[in-house]
Amino acid sequence: MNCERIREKLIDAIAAGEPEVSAELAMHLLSCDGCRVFYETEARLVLSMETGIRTIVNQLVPISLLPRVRERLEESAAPRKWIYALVPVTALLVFAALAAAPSMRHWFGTAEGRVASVQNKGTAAAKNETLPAMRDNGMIPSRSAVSNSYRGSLKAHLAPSVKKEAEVPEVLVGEDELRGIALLSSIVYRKPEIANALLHPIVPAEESTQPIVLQKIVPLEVASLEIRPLAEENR
Amino acid sequence: MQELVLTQPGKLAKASGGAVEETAAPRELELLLTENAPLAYRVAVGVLRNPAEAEDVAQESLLRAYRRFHLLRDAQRFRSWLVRITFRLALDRSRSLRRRTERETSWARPELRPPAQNAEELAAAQEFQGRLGRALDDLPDGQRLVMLLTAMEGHTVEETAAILGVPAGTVKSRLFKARKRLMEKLR
Repeated sequence: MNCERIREKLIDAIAAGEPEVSAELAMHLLSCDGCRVFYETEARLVLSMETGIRTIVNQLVPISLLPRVRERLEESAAPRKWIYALVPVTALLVFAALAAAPSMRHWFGTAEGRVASVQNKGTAAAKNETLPAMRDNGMIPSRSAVSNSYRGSLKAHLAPSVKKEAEVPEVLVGEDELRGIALLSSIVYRKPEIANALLHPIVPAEESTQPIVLQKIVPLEVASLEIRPLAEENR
Repeated sequence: MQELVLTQPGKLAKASGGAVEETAAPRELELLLTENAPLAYRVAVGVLRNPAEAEDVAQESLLRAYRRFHLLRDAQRFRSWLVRITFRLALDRSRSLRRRTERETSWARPELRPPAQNAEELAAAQEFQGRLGRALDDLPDGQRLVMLLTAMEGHTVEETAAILGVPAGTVKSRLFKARKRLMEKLR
């Protein structure tokens, strides 16, 4: 048997942790100094190796290990108590925020809401110029004069999205239209025949079979209709 | 060994497999941790070879075992579970430490360091320990863990097999391969 194969077997025997080599290998070691030295060297190496590893892993366990684990457990438990103590405070803050929400709507509302708010400011001036003046002149009756049934029917014709956004429906008109509507309403109030003429088709007298029944025109204010100039919308 | 009294009550598993009972009181868990804390430390120090870092990792693994005990379906495998947690944490720490060391000492070449002032034998022993540590680091995880566990006092091959939940033959096979690799590296 050549020494190279013997050495491979010796390495296997040492790596397997066998306390003694086989009889065949023992015989060779007795007769071969080179292999015996090799075996002793390898065995010493494995012994050093295992001693080294034992030295590493069998170090004394620090006394502080378990007390520190306990401390860390207590530390991790402590913040939870603190968080639980904050629950009522948080609840109070939430309630306060909810209560203050309506008044904060201007600041924290949607973009549409903010635009509407700006538009309201812009149209307020126009409204102040026209409607109160007309009301003072007796052209427009007071809000209380407007029947609830009319309001209901008006709301029923409005788009659902408009209904959702505001109780009071919104109709946007141009500035010229605003003036036109105001003028028309004042004329119609003073001259009801013009209104009747607008409501009925013009039929030549010789062709008419029935007399025209004139309707009574009563003053009307669409209280829930806010008239805004379109110019505000485009800003 | 010192007494461990843990104040946080542990959540215990409602054994879906019937392995862990509700009666597994926090006290039992405390005892398990107390008994196995040295094992966790030794696994950590075996990987890290740095007592301070090993203690930190052992603490972390014990904390994790305490907090996640309810996830363990078989309480009998607590030792194995703890060893695996510790080994993983130690490997992670070892890698991050190695990266940090490489970053911080990249300017220093080993040949430029001053020679050891101590006796030759001590220097040789230190040098050997260094080489051994590096060789251990290069072992596959399974072989490395087996080498560490069998080197611990009182751990036979059978006990190591029980801790890892593998047959004794597997432990022997891993030991054999690990020793051969180490011999090749250290020769």
